[in-house]
Amino acid sequence: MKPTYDEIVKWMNDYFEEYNASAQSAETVHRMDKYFAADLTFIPYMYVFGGPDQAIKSREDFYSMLTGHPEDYEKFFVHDIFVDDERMVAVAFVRATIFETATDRVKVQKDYLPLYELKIDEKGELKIALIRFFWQAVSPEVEASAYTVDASKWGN
Amino acid sequence: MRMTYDEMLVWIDEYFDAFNEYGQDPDTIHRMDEYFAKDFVFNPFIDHVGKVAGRENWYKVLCSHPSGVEKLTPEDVVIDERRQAFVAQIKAELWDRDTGRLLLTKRYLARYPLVEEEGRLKIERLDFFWEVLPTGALEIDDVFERDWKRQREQA
Repeated sequence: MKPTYDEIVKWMNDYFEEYNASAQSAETVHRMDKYFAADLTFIPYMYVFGGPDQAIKSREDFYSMLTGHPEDYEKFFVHDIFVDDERMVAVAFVRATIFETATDRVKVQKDYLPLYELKIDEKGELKIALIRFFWQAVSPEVEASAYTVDASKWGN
Repeated sequence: MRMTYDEMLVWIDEYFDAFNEYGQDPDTIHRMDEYFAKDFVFNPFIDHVGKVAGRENWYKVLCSHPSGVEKLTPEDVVIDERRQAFVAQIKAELWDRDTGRLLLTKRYLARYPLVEEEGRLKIERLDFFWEVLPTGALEIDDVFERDWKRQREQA
């Protein structure tokens, strides 16, 4: 059954809480199976991840990205969530803080605007089917100092 | 006043059509008064682009780049009927007015909270994110700068 507006808002807030707790460690990332469909698509609208032509097309590949930067980690603070309950789409306006793992030093803070297309899976559970990912545009120098990204993975 | 989901869908289509037709020409820009609130704020999440407060200041920005014409096509619209707000993923095409050549294409994702003014809903704020292109790629600012440079020299 289709979730209500309030159910989607609560589910998205729970998702961000679980993301902060579990999503960037190889030991715990599979807790995110509750939220991501196995055939998740992630479309990045930034060239550091290859741009929209380099979409990730499975949950496992997405987990490889999330757990592939052990030198740093990010925490999300949710400013706001817009919900289209007719279409089962949510858009989150979040503040991301990127920390250096070894020292917990804050490397950078920036805002993200990801769009989440949701679906009900074959078990009747709500899942994220697709993410269109936009983030605050900063200078290439700031970008490089904030994220540990293996650019060769993204066709750069 | 409030709009229903279906009314918002129609309104959003009309807004983008009006923007493309009237939104970058000083002779017609005030037709956009139907859509932008007087206290409109452009709120870009782009480090080198500043916030713009007030509809008239926003119109100055929109009309400041006559040689580069922006055409906006909404590709995906997310309607939050309860909040009377929407989000649009937009294909932006920048065309050279003199040659008719397409200079660049990129995507935007923007949030539009609405507010009631003069008996209708209008855009209160535009929270604006854009696709980050590779370093060195032709950017929208590079095209707009052609006109901005000319304007600075004439001032």
